[in-house]
Amino acid sequence: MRNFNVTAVAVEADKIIINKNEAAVRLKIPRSYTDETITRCEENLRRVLSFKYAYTKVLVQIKSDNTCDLGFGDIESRDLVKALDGCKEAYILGVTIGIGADRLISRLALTSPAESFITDALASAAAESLCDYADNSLRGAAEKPFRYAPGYGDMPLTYQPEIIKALNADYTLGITLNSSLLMSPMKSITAIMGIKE
Amino acid sequence: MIKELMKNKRLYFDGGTGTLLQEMGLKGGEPPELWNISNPQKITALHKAYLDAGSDIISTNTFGINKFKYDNYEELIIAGIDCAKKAVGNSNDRFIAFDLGPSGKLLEPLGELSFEDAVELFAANIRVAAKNGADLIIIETMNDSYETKAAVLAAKENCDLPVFVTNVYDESRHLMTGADPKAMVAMLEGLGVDALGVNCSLGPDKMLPVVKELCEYATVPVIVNPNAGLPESRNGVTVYNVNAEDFSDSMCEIAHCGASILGGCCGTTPEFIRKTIEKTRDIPLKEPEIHTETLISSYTHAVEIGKDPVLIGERINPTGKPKFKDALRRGDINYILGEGLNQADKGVHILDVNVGLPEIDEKYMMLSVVKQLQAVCDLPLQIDTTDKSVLEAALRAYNGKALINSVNGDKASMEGVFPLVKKYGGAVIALTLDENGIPDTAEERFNIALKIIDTAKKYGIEKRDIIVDPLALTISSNQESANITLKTIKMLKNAGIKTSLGVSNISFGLPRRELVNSAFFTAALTCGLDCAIMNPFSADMMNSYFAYRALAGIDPACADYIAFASEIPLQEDIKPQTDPADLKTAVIKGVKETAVKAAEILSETAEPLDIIDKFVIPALDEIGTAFENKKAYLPQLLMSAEAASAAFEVIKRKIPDKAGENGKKFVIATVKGDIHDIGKNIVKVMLESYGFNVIDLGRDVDPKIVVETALKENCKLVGLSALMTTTVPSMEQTIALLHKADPDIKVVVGGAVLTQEYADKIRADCYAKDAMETVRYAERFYS
Repeated sequence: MRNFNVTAVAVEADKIIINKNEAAVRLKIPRSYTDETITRCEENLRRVLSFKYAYTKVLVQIKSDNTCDLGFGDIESRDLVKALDGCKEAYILGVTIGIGADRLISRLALTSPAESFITDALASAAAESLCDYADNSLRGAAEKPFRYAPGYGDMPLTYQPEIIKALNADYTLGITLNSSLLMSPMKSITAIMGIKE
Repeated sequence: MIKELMKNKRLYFDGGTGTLLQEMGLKGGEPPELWNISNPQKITALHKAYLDAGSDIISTNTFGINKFKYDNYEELIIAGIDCAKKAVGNSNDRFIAFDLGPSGKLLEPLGELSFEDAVELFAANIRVAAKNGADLIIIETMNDSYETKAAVLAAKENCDLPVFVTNVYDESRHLMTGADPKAMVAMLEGLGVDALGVNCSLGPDKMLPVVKELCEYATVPVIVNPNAGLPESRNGVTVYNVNAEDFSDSMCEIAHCGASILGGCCGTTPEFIRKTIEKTRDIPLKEPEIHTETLISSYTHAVEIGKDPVLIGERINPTGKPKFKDALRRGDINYILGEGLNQADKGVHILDVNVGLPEIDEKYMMLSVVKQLQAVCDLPLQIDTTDKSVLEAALRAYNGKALINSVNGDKASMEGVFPLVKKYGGAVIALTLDENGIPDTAEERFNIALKIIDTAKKYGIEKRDIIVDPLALTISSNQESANITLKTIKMLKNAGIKTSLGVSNISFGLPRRELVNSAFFTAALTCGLDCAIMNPFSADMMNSYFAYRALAGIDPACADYIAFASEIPLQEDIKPQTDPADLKTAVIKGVKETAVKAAEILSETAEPLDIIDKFVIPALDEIGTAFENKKAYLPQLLMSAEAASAAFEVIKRKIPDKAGENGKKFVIATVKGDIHDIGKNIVKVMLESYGFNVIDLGRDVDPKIVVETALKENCKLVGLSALMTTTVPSMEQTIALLHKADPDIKVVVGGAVLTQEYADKIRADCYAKDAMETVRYAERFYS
């Protein structure tokens, strides 16, 4: 059953500036460093990106210091409960930069592993940037509760299918999970974001 | 029955179900298909409401049912069809469409659901539907072309019902996995669907560009089932932003574009359908047009043969290529994929795939190459094989409408190939030869072409899908060869038949063949040749192609020619090669092209091992040390490694018995369950740059395969990578199996989640924190 309260948004490419710091961390380079290869990889990556996000607003029920319910049963995670402290509602968010990046990265792995590595790092950074953009659009730019997700801290990845279902993400974003609960497209992110009154 | 009706009458689907079911009490998150059993009277009432509004076709409430999700999927489907039957009653002009939605899984190679498993998943539903009284199958809301193909094949193979298909396109006119409407028309009509179109995602106004493109190319009826605009949240309730009045106005425009089956999707209600029927009922159906365009397609786009000359890259073919043969024997798929990607970079439009070699399993190899090319290269493929079973396997696994190489006028050839073309779709290269060989005159070759086209017609294959190759035979044995071929091309062209040619045969036995080939290519293009199977690395052939297009007036403002010409270095710019010491600099700076050139020059005079020891290794050590001292960064290190590997390739050719290849083996893999291979690839590049023979098993590798490979290759050094905590157990299992199989095998592990402590726990022999450490460990191992 589709959740009928999901909103999906396509974001124009020029709205997303790839966060250079995020990329630098993944490339293990200083923030100030760049070179021709990195620039070329970014240009080629930008040609295949398709930014989309989808979200739904849910009620937060804190049941104990390590259990909460967002509408699909109990979630056991002390860290998530902490992140949702004082929030009556939360957004569930999913973002993806599209399957084109996966294809480009696998293609480059055959022709230039270095470019594949760089493009992979840039693509991860692009997904993070998109996630920030979506978060700012939803919760505003001011300081807000920590963004949380299955796989962080003590929240097991096994909750990921529920998140995907809550967002109809296979339909709204083209995100599917494999048997190890990894997302495809690879550069996709899910998040649970508390809303402070 | 419905097939006859839709020729003369506009038909109407029903609309959305969610809004109405929620009004009837369905809770958010509750699967509506469960109501087939728990609330059947309400589902029947919903169907009735649409029938009352005038819908000719109602879709069963079975969208979300499959055997992955429900053990009792049969019961749910039967109950769903029963609800629809009750609504339709005895009426014989209302139809029940069995509704088949996507599986929710992504297919291989990007996902992990295999194509055949997907076919079987859908087939299970179809069999139940066909047995229980559905009138047709509607495959809907599909956002992936490959999954769509699996569903259509499942329907075709398991029932005789009409098959309708609608896909979800976004505002950029593409499916989520990349296909555009023209590509979908090519593939779906090839598979023999009875109607095709678009549903969901957008409101009708935003769908217009997609509808126009579908109507331009489709010969079957076009279905349009839009949403009631886009969802908006108002006071916590989702509402769609287009009302019934505006919706039906847009549907009028859509009907005028030529769409003949109309309905609605999310957010629409019987009111939307009623108004749409009122306003579009009297709009006449579009007159059927005769389509002559030849389309083949990949998972992203269609290539049209017959307008602008089409280049088919011939390099994925072992004939006369020892290195390629060797790659096939070793099962080195990456080499073969590389041949494809390099040709794509040269600008070919289609890739020929021929992997036939007597001593290998051609079917297995063909399937691997087709599937993996589809993961990395978006060009349509030409399946080139003489084995019928290989052809069938490839056509089945192909994500699009393929070109097939080839059929000829021999009865047995046509009987073998045409049934497959009919079933899977495709355009076929038809060679003008038959039981009696290759005729000597243009007239006789032309007649064979006509015979092939006539026979194809009997199988239901259109003339436009037969592309005739009038055959080029060498002029070195018959001076008239070229003239005969060119004359045949002209005759075929005049008869409206598409043509193709394997150009290079014309010069067999002559010196400097490319001179003859390119002149002949130009002559053939001038006679109207539509496509050529050729070598895109031949500068002369590419010159002919670009110059011809500019001369023929099909290259606006000569833009392609100018872009092509500006890439060709002028004679005076080509300097004699520079200092051989450039090799070291080139490796340090990571400039692949310079490194290759310098290595080529050096190889002419110096001993291979000397070049490696004096230039390559010192360069690698210098950049490696700089990296370890944080004076160089990972991207630079990798570019250097790539340059060194490219130089190695050049130098290796000079080593007589491949001693350099077999000495230092290293088996590498990302463990089962893990699809991250960036780290593994980095390690591989670094190892190769140091001259190791790396056997790369890829990602998500079964422990058994790692063990089998290590034993088969007699390789005692294995590297495993894992990025996720969830896949470390699979790493542990792989290590245990390796050690059990041969206690002498050493396993080095790496990856984001690993630490020394973790590595010790899972009994790895070495933990390497980065690629350089793996190289150092491997060097110690072999020293």
